[in-house]
Amino acid sequence: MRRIWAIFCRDLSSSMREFLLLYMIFAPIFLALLFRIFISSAGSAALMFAVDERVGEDVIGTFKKYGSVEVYKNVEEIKRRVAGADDVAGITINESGDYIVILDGGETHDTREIPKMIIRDMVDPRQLEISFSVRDLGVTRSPVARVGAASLILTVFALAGAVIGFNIIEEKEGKTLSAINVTPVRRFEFIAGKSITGLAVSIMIVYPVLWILDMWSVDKAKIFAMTLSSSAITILAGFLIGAMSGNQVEGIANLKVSMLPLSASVVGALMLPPDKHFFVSWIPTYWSFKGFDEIIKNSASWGQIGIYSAWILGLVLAAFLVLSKRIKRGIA
Amino acid sequence: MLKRYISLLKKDIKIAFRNQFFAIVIGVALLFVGLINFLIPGELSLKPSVYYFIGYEGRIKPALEQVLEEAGREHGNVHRKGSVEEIEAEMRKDYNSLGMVIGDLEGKPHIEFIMQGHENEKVINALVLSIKDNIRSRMHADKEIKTVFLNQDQDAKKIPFNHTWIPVFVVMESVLLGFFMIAVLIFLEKDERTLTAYMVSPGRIPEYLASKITLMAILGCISSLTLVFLTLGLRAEYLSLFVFVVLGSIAAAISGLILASFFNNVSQASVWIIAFSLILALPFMSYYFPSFAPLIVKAVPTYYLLFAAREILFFGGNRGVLYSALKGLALFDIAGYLAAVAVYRLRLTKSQEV
Repeated sequence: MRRIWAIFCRDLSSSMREFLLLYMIFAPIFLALLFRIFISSAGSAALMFAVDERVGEDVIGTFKKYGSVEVYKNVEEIKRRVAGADDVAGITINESGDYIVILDGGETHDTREIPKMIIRDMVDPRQLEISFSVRDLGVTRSPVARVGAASLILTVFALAGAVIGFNIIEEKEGKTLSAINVTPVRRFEFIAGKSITGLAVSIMIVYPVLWILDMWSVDKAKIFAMTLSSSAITILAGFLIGAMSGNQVEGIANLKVSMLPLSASVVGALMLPPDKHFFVSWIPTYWSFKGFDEIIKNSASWGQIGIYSAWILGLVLAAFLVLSKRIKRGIA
Repeated sequence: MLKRYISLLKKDIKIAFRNQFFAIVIGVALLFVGLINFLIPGELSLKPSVYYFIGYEGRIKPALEQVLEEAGREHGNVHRKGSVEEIEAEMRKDYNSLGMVIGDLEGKPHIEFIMQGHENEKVINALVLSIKDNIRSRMHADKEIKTVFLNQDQDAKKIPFNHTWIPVFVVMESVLLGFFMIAVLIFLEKDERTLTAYMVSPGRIPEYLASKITLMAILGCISSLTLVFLTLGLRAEYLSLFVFVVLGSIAAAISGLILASFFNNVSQASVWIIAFSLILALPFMSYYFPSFAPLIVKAVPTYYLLFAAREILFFGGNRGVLYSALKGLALFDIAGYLAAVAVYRLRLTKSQEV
């Protein structure tokens, strides 16, 4: 235990000296602050219309009920706006008083169709004898906020993993590892000592990130449990990067490669049809992402957290077993 | 100067080759090819699922049923349920969904929309309007609204869902790999004090940086050509793609160089490289939902690059987007290169080492 603590203290002091710890703490906080602005924009996302001022205030007001409106002085200005990269429908009026919708051609279905529907609703005197009402299930947290928060938390684990990995590479390059190998420090103690910084940082950062993202109401005990099990991914990533890389060039290449399964697991969980999830469910971060996402949704039971954690730990353990020879060789 | 630049480039290519950069770039591109060609489905709707229940038995029931059944056939994610409870249960499982209960209110049809709760008022208004419009067009003749298309060709074009990922990979992988990889070449040489040795030779900073930037552009081209050729074949505009990837890779490499100049080692830089990579990925959402384009997303350069890449790969017809992106990249490349040279000269003067 004393040796593990000594390795941790050495790691900590070298991280402090090089501002590494400060960066590891500040980078996710900075990202969370930025993401907070992004989430509020996502919450107000709606269709966009570039409207000719000649249509009059009432019509502009009607379009504002369905999306954000930018008012332009003439058709040329509207065409320039519509030709931009984003989806904007132009609305103008001709001499006979007919409304015209201007489209680039590549817009999504809603941007093409809703402006026509708004115009039809304004000009068509035949009203339907149908009444409408709206209620909701009380899920106020947007999917963008949820997915963003879960992805940001996974990024914290990736950052911590990268730092563990590069610390190991630096020790290899400085021949410290060879020196440690002739001391009584056992390999397990070395791994444990090296992992504590990353682990501690993950736990320390996750809560401020949730607070900044206005998600403080989530079940903090479940977040703690999920963070703890997901930290195994940090350790695996760190040791893989550290062991597989002979120098920092290889380290960055391996970091790049190891970021791919992370991204694939998030994108796969979100975009693949459920019957194809098995393509990404072998990646531990898939279960971590699912766990955090469901905790933030308030729909995760302790049973589910247990299952997801078991998957993460099982997959990480399997990866360690499969790669144990390579890791041993890499840190020898 | 040209001779020195070529010698440096040869040396950098050798270092990259020895450190498996070429193998990794080709391997990752082949992985993406596999994902696009075999895993990601060609047809996938990102629109919310709709669950509905019809409890209304009045005169216009057939018209309402027809509207919803047709919507189901067209979109595939509109499902009829046997009760309100069933709708709510499905909605709680699928957070990207909404419900509709068609009932009777004082002898007239009444549609109650059940939302999740996070949707904003404008989105709800648009949803109510689209249902109203569909029912009205079913009951009365549709009133045609004149529409002008600026790019008629693009109107009929539908890109398969798996192919929509190609521009994402070209930008996020082929173009941005320099941002990630160039820092490490710099730190490697810093550790070996190569730059200090280089500075006492006739070699100068501009050619030293130019050779590394060129290597990143070469890697970017290899990555994008492998990816695009094996997914789209000859259907892409390769000359524009080449110019785009070269200019984009140069911009990414210059950004990586400038970022790396602020740090002493890869560990420090890697934290910020990962953080900035996440920021650069933000426009991904606007790419899939183009009507969502807040200022914060438009401030990230990859926003414009994604749409420009889509234009190159699928002949969108909106050349303005492509030309603006290329112009912006060229200007950034010139200004950024001069800035990078100045930063590295300054750092060398201050510490005799970058």
